[in-house]
Amino acid sequence: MGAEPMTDDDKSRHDFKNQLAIICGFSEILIAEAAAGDPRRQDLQEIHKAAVTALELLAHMYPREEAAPVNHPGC
Amino acid sequence: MVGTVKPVSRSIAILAVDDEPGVLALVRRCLDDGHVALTEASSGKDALALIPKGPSLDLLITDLRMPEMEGDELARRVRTLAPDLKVLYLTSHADRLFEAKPQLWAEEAYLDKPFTREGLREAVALLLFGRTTL
Repeated sequence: MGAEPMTDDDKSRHDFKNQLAIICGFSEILIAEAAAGDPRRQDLQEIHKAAVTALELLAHMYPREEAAPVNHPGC
Repeated sequence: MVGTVKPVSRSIAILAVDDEPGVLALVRRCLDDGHVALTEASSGKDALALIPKGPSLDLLITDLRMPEMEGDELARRVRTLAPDLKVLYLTSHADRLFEAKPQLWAEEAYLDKPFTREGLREAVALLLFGRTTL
């Protein structure tokens, strides 16, 4: 295939981003399903916010490789 | 092979492939609504083994970057068995997808990770039906 092989660093970044994607995705679903008065809603939002911040940090650490903006309104 | 979820009659048959179990679990959660019959595989090799055994597929959802066989190679091989199959690539880096495939086919699309439930459902609906809802 045309793409260059992944380096160990690429793979680590890919795997790390996968984990953050899982946290983002599930927390987004749980927030959407939480009732308005559910006290856990704010906890879920904190988890979600932390995952989004981690994605932004990753983009900051690898500005060239992560050039695409972190732009996931629900995530 | 990871497993099969909900063999629903007259539903949308989707094969999801990712070497990360958590991503497969998220895809399952996003699509699990009674209209989707989702089969899962943790590698391209397992996915290819499932194709002849299962029902005809409407859509392949695959991670782009996987050990042993990458998503675009899997799609190429699956198409030798099911030429009209539609493919949705999940990718952390769209630029790498376009290194491998400078042009996507009409039956292909990609979705960046992380993705939302609505984002995945919309991508599937657009690819399969040309509309934004499943």
